[in-house]
Amino acid sequence: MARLSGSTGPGGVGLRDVAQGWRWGGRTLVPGSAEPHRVPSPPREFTTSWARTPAARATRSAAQAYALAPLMRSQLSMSVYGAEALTELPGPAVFVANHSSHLDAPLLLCALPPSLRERTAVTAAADYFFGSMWRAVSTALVFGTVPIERRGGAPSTTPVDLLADGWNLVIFPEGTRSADGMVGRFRFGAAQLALTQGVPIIPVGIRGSYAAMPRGRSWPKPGRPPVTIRFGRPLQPRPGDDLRELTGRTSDAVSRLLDEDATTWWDSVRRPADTSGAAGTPLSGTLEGLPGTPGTGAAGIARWRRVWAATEPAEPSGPRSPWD
Amino acid sequence: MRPGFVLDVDERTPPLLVHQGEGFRLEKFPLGTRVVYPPESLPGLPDVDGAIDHALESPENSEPLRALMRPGMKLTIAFDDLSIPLPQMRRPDVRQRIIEKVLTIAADVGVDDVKIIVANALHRRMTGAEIERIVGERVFRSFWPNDLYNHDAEDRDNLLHMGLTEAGEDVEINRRAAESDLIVYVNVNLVAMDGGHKSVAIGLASYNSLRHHHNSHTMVHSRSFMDHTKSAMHSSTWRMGRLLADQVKIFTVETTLNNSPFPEKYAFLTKREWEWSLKDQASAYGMSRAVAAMPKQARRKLFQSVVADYAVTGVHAGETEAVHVKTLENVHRQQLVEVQGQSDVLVVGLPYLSPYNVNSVLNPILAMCLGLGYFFNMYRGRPLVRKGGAMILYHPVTWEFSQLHHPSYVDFFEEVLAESTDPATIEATFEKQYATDPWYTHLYRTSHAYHGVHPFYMWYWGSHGLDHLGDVIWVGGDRRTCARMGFRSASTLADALEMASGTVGTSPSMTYLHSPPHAIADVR
Repeated sequence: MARLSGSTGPGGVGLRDVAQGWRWGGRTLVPGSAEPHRVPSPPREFTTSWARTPAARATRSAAQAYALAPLMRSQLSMSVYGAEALTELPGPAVFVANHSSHLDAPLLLCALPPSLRERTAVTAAADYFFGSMWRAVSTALVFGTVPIERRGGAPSTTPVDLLADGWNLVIFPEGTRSADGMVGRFRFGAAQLALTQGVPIIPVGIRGSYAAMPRGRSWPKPGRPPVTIRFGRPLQPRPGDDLRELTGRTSDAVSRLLDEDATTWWDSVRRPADTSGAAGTPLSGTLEGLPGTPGTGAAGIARWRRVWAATEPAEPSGPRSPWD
Repeated sequence: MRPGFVLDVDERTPPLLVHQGEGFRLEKFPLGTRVVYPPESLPGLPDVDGAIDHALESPENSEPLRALMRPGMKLTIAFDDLSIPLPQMRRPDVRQRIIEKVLTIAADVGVDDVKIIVANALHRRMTGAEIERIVGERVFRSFWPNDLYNHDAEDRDNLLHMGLTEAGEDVEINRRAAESDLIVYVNVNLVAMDGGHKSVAIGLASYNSLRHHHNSHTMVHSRSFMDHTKSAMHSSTWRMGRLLADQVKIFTVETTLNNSPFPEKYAFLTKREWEWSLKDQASAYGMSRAVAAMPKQARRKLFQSVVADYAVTGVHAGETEAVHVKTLENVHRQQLVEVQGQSDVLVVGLPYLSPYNVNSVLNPILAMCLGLGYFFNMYRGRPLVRKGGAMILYHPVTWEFSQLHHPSYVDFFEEVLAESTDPATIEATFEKQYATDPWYTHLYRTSHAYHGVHPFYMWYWGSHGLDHLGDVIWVGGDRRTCARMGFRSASTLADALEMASGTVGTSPSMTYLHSPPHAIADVR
């Protein structure tokens, strides 16, 4: 049924009418029902090499250290585990994390040691982050983003060039933010880069970001919600590894980190990993015992229960207040 | 070329373009509104002259045109008047190309007796300049004015009664055409309603013949005009056409056009709004503001001077019915959009132009005809709006008439509509008087006026819509004018929906027919 959402203006085309349809920066907003009728846009890669010049790197380091990190810590209760081992990395690596919020990239960057962070680029969806000029420029400058095509098309050579040039890459292999907090299927791009370039994959589990700022929110929830970023041990591509196998190992490692965060390291290593665990709380926690868990996936569980589990407030990690 | 589709208005949908007479607006439609978008314009034929040659040499269900000609024969070429296409197409008009080819063959064969007649029925006589624009300078200079002229439906000496159809309908057409050895009819089939037997049986007919299908009863049972198999008007015309075809050799040439009613500089008028470039946005804003600031006459001149970028998508020639089947395939390929189910409210934006106001003003009666006669009938199967639903139209409906082109409309509006707006009532009470009024007849024959009965036909054209709809509301319409026609006017869409809530409730389903370009909704 139609519902009138607003009043209509006088005849003609007013500035306000035009502004409502104006695509600031050229990004096209397509109505949902018109998606199947969209004309495929010609491939056009946004050049980001300028964002890796010394001047841009200095600007980014300053922005991340003196603006982004304090902002994150003011809005979120951040806990970082396992980052200390990263300083021993001999060369570039691919950081692979679960993805459920726009907070994930800035959280991960803030969690990295500064020496690594300043040579780390974040891969970002070309169709979203590089669809408009202002978004492309600002994210490339502040987060060092580089575009990758997630809807097929010619693969960009930028990530390969970056790894070859000694840069670390952050990749969210699910391709998009989780709609319900669960970890989705990992795509093969990260494993392919690791295999072809011979660089290790660092699994990263980010827990709490979905609860703090899920899809649809543009600012974290008030109350400094807790988030944890847990780095795992590097996964070195082994001789004979194929794409599917390495992707599976990566996915298992990320799920285990999430499980570890919710329970203990010992519990997590004893339990077979479930690749469809919730980013907020793993299946082995809240959803354990439900049909299809663990190990058989969470597809059979009602969506609300998955969201419920993913948004369950984490236990306070700091010392108990004497006033409680 | 992308097919047409039905958009569901969601939060991402920008304000949509709505035509509103000599202007347009951007309207933010309620969430959930269905918007019927026509298919994108088909590519034109790469070699139009080659296609014409092929059609004339290998016609449908007929001998080649050359074989139908012989020295000493009487050849009459008739062609559609300026009521199609809308807006006028770029020169050379496809009718010029075809007429030149036909004349070239006739000259080769040695045909001397050739007349070219504008099939204007009861429409106004075209001026020499208007005819020259359609047929081209070469044809015009060779034939005008003695052998190239407007059909005169009131010239009793030059009409011939051909007989009665099995339904008792008089078939009376232009004598010269009727007594010819061959009629070549050159048509432009802009929408599915045009063409077929309608060309000769209506275009060259008299009032005595036209009254059998141009009446309120036939029109209300034409569902719709865009589907000749379900249209009582077309059925009558088909009976007449078959009778004519038995007595006169008719060689029909039908052409179809793509969906490019506006030139490139007004590309935003045909593009889907979310795909507008910055240039399109700026053009829409700039043109809207400029048009609003213009004096009325300049604005009208600007709009009437628009020349469409139409390209020819098909040329078929031969026996009328066989040709029309091919023609309709082309039209449907370009204009048909599948729509699931009816809605409570149909919204349309009426442009500045209808078939009857080329180089003139779209007066209130023509606006009603354009909305309830044409746009309402742009369906196949079932109307886009349910029985008893509401129709919301955007048009200023100003109380304004052309005394040159529409003299009888003025009196129809002042006198007839003041008495009744019911098509059957006004037909019974007033039609005869207007149809036979000597002053209107004089103006039709000697000036450039539509026939005295023409406003009645325009009103009948909306009969099916009037019968079907529970409410008709004009957004931005002049209140006095709307009231005279038995309608209501609203300032905004929100007001119109509020007013229609008595008929369709407070949360009606809505469909906006995003046209022009033309779209025929195939309502399932």
